[in-house]
Parts: sequence; C-alpha cells; structure tokens
Amino acid sequence: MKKVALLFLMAILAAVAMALSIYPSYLLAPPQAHTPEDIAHAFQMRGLAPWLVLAVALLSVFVGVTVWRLPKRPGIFRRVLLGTALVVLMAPLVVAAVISRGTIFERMFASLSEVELESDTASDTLNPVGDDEMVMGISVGGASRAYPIRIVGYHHIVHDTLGGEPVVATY
Amino acid sequence: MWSRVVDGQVLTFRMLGLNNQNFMMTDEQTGTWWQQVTGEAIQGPLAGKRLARVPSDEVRLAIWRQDHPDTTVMAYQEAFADNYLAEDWETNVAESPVPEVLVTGREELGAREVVIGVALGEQTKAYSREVLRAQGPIIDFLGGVPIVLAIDADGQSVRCFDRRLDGRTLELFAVPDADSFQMLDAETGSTWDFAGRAIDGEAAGQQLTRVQTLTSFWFDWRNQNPETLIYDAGMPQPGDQPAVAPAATEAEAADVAGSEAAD
Repeated sequence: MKKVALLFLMAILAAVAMALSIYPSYLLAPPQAHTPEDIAHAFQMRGLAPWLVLAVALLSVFVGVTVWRLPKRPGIFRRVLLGTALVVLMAPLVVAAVISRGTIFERMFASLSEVELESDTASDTLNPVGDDEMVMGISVGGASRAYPIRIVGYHHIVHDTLGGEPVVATY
Repeated sequence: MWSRVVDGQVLTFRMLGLNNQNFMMTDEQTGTWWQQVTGEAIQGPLAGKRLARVPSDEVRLAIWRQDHPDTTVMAYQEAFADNYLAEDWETNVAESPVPEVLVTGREELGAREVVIGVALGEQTKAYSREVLRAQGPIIDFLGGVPIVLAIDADGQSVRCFDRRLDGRTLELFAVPDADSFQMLDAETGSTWDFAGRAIDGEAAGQQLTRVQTLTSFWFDWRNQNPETLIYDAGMPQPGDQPAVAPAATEAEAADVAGSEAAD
C-alpha cells in the first residue's frame, strides 16, 4: 500500500512539474489582457520555472529511489513492472525540464538569423518579389534593403546586417 | 525596424510571447524582455532601455525601388513556402475574432481597423486608413508640427511629411487624375510627388522632411498610446491653426521633426 501511495505522489509531482513548465507560456498567451504587473509576474515565473521544475524532479527521484528500496516480493516480472512505472513517472520531468527553458512561442515561430537576398536565391518559383508587394524599406550606411511584409509577418523576427549596422525587422 | 546594438552589445532575439496581442521578444545575451512595437525593454537586466529605431518606409516595392534604385530585396525561401502570409492576410486578420484587450473606453474606431499612427513631440495621433484613402492627402498639425499624410493610389503605401518649407507652411491638395500620386501646394504652386519632392513649380527640386509612421490595428495603437488623439474626418483642415502656439514651440518642434524624420 505504501508503494502505491508513493507512486501516486510521483504522478502528482510529474503533473506539478509539467504545469510549472507551461505556466509562463500560459501567462503570455493570447487572448488575455495583460497589465504591467502580469508581465512582471510572467518574467519572475519564467526565471523561476527551471529551478522549480528541477526541485520537483529531485524530489521525484528521491521518492523513486525510496520506492525501489522498499522490500520487494520475488520475481523478475514485478521488478520490470516497477522499473517501468518509475521510468514512466519520471519521463514527464525530463520533458518539463526542457519546456521550462523557454516559452512554447519560442519554438512555434522560426525567427530568422540571416537574410537571403533575391540576388543570391536559388528559388525562382517564389521570387522575384512582386512590384505590388508591400515591403518595409530601410537605408543604413548608404545601403538600402526591402523586406517583404509577408515574410517578416511570418517569421516575426528577422536578423540582418545592413551598411555595417546590425538590425532586426519585427512585424 | 531596430538597431540590434544596445550599449555596444549586439543582441539576437527570440520570440517570447504576447503582451496584449503585441509580441515580446527576449534577447539571448541578457534575457531582457522587449516589446516589439515600441522597442522598449520592459523586464530584465536592460529594462528601461530602448532599441534605436531605424527609420523605415512601408510601401509597395515599386515605390521603394523608385527612390532607392540600388536597393537589395529579401527573397522568399523554399523552406518556408507554406508558411508565408497569404497575399490577402490583412483581410483575414481583420475578420478574425476581436481579442479581449485592455478596456480603456476608447472605442471610437473598430478594434481591428487599420490606422496610421504618428508620434511628434508629446502628441500621438491615429489616422484611419479608410479616411486617408477617401480624403488623402490629409494636412494636420501634431505636436506643433504641420504635417501631411499621403497615401498612394494602391491604398496601402503611406508616407508622412513635415510640410514646412523655408519658413512657410504649405497647404497641400490632391492633384486629381494624375498618372501617379501628386499633390499641389497653394503657397508656391508647386507639384509634389509621393517621395515629398517638388517636381515642378517655384519649389522644384526641394524635398519635404519625412516623418515616421506606424501602420497598425487601432486596438494595438491605442494600447501602446493610451493618450492618442484621433483624426476627426469631419473637421475642416485647410486653414486650421496649430493646437499649440507656433511661436513657443517652433524651435522645439523643429528639433522633434529632425530627430523623428526618416533619412
């Protein structure tokens, strides 16, 4: 009975870790309204989440080891069963640890680290950019560049360097 | 468009999440949280700092090319072919459900109505793009600066100019039936093109100073600029006096116009 109770406790710890890892993303999710205090809270939780998840994970490992050390009835089958249960209950902690390192939006949107130019591109099915397409145009250090809004609007964040100046297009 | 250099450090950004429907990004160097639309650091080690704005032009490629014949153009990439916004993305977004946003009691315009936002001096003002399409060019005063908003026949390309020339304030009117966008001023009788250049008349060859605009949805502009004024489409514009006495603010206004203007 004690064994079952401890395994149940591990299941709860796994759920808590998952919730902690997703919480900062939830705070920054549409469509809710945000006050500056909400954002400050999100920032705090974003910083704490990896540590809280780590603490929960360590606790879970401790409980897992305790369960394993309890007197076991003989039989390889029971050992395999218990071992599998422990792995299944601790796997979400690994997932939570990974998730807690960033918000889910960081994974959802592919920000670009560099720009491919029309003059360099091998893709002629999508290019050239049409004369009637809306662009964001900038001139820096004597160089000019146009960024189609349909591109920046998908990536949201496009890193570039123009005229020697590191710039970022956001939309 | 922003410079990525803050206090000599070059930053790289990642998407972070939404703050009232406007995304925030985080930089990999310091973990600071930045609001995309204002360039302001709102949480983290660099909180309170601002990214330096790179003046940008939001126009059709053909118009951009006219003024910058040597421009390079960012290309579409095959890898993201299925992800790019559809050509009619703006309509799709406008028709999507209106999100819950901060209630400020400012519902003069539809939440997803497209506005052209201008910030000059202490004042910010929203101009409905629909009104600009119907009435453009619009002449107005903002932050003590006489300005003119121009919209191309494409209904999307928008530019704003300081309409002072050699100490005179120009009253500008649309030239109907012109092949391309043109406006005429009453003071010098000159014709001006969409780049703010006088192409004939007494002022031929002169250039009006650019003022940065931001095209956005009304709810977003309103959230970022709670004190924003709204252009009143019914107001008679020609001959209007500036809201602030020009003598007191001329120098200050010129200063602001200089720092905000595009190159």
